[in-house]
Order: sequence, then structure tokens, then C-alpha cells
Amino acid sequence: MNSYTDEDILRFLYDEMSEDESSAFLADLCTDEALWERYEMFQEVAEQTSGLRFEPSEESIQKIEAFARTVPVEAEFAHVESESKPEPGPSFSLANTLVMAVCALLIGSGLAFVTPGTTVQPLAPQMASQVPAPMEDISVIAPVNSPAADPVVQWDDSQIDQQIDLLWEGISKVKSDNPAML
Amino acid sequence: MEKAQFKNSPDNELIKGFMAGRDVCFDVLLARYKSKVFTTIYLIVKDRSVAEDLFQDVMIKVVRMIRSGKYNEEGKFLPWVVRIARNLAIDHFRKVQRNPLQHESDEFDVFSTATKMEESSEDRIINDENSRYIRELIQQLPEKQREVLIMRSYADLSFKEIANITDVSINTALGRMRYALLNLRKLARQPGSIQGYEQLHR
Repeated sequence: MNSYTDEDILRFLYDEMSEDESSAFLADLCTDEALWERYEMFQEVAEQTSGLRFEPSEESIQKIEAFARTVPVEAEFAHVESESKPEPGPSFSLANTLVMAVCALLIGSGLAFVTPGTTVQPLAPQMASQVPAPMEDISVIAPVNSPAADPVVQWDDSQIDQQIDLLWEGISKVKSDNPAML
Repeated sequence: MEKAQFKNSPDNELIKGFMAGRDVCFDVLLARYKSKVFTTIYLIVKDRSVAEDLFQDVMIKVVRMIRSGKYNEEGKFLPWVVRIARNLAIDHFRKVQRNPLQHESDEFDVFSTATKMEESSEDRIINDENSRYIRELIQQLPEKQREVLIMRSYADLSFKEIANITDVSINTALGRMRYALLNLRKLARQPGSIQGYEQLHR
């Protein structure tokens, strides 16, 4: 049987023993009456000292919170984003703006509808007839195997490509920063 | 509503959020630890108005240090705040000792053994006779023992954290706690008696 010091008893009492130590101590506590008496004595006093709790005044809290809002953010930390849940307002607007821009661009050009979170979806053939005529430099090339079921949309305008790439990069960034928003 | 969003966020995330400009993250930290920090200060200084002032000073310092990027104690926010509180309390007592005329009495002396804690209607405490009695007993403990007892029992710091804050070994911190509890027991057996104070210092 181990001989425990008072400090060991305190470490057990305040849950600061490792799991192994704690198990061994508990086993000894059950069989060693002298150890139990010492433990009980400390436990009784420690229990009496717990339960005191004081709160600062609401005035203090308000002053501190108000002060916290006056201290400017250091420029070098402004980019340090919290990993915790973001506030919805501005990010959501930005995401919406980007999505709407892509939608407008693609729908306006008669190419596709956009579903956020997916790649650009080409219109189904029956819907294609309902949108304005495509731009001159855009051609629809049917795939070899299944032209009707899954047409591939293609165009030559590299500027549009770049714009779409940029917009999707923006959307991807917003989505990755704010996964719950979209 | 915003506070509720961050209620369960870990300290480090809240600190990063506050560094980046999310004020609400600090509000959550403040709500999370205000009782522990204030209780620790109050039990040390024994005066509500002084404790309120020190509590504000501590938190203002915390705000400034976090916002300026000087906080670098990952995962140890509360011990860090308690260390600041302890240092400011010590500074306070040094000032009082240098210039005692600023105060109506010398009851701010940290080594004082029988001072009464001031009561306030704002105290949200378990205000029964037993807690009042225990509180008075705690005030009779020698400073170092009282300090460890307060940090362990009311600020919920580990002995390792207390040892770091007070610049002693873990064994010394444990030893002080041991004496604190033994002395409290002794004092409790002599209710209402200040004579027990001498026994504490043996």
C-alpha cells in the first residue's frame, strides 16, 4: 500500500491526479481507514470554503464593455479572423452579391442557371429556348456520346472566362470563410 | 443574441475574434470569467469599491494587451488574467503602504488578519451565516496561504497554474494549500476567536 502525503490527498481532492494515480488512490482510500480519515478531514474543510461567489457591479461591466469598443484594432491583426462562428450580416450580403453577379452574367448571356455550391449548370434543352438568343461568339457543341442529355456549353470569350473565374474565386472564398451562410 | 452565438466558443477563438475586431467576443470572455476574477480580487483586497476599481483596471489592461497582440498564452486565459489581478492588487497595497493617509484606515493592509469585508446590496452571494463565517476565517489566513486557497477554490486555477503565477514550485503551492486548510480547520474550532491567529503562523 502506498503512503500518501497530504499533498497527494489534495491533488486527488482537486482532481489533479492522472487517471492511473487517481484509480490507485481511490482503491487505497477504500481499504485504508487512516487515509480515509485524513482525506475526509481535508474534504470537509475544502467543501466549506467553496460556494463563495461575488459579482462585479453591472456598472463596472458596462464600463469595461464600453472601453473595449474604444480600443482600435491593430492593423496587423485586423486580418486575423476568428475561427468561431461569424456574424451573418456583411458576409451574407457579399456572398449574395457575388452569386447574383454570376447569375446575371450567365443568365444574361443565355448560358446557364447557377446553383451556389455547384459548378455552372448548362440549361436543359427545353429551357434553352426560353432564354434570349445566345451571344454570337458562343457555340454549343454537343458531346459525342449523349448530345441531348448533357450538352457541353462552350464559348470563346476569354474575358467572360476571366470574369467568371474571378467571381467564383470570390464566392469560394466567401463560402469557405462562412460555410453556414450558403 | 450575438453573445449566445459565441457562448460555447473556446477562449482562444474568442481572443482571436476580439483581436480581429469582434467586440462581442470580449463580452463573452468577460461574462465567462467575471465572477472568478472579481471574487479573487475581492477576497484579496476585502473592500468592494477597491475590488470594483481593480477589476476594471484588470480588464482594461486585458483589453489593451489583447488588442495590441501582447497576449500569447494560448489556452491559459484565466491564469493570465488572475496573474494581472494579483499584480495589480500587490501594486495597490504598495501604494497604500507608501501613502496611508489617502485612506481612512489601514484596513487595506493585505497582512491584516481580522478585517471585515464590506457588504453591499449588490453582492450576489450565498449570504448565510456560514459563508460569512468562512469568509472571515479566510481573511485570517496568512497572505500566501490565503492567496493559494483563493486561486484554487474560487478562481479554479490548478496548482501548476498557481505555482506559475506565484513563482513557486507546485509542491510549495500544494504545501501552502495544505496549511491553509489545516489552519482554517483550526480556526473553525475556535469560532469568533482571533487568538487562533497566532497558531496559524507556527
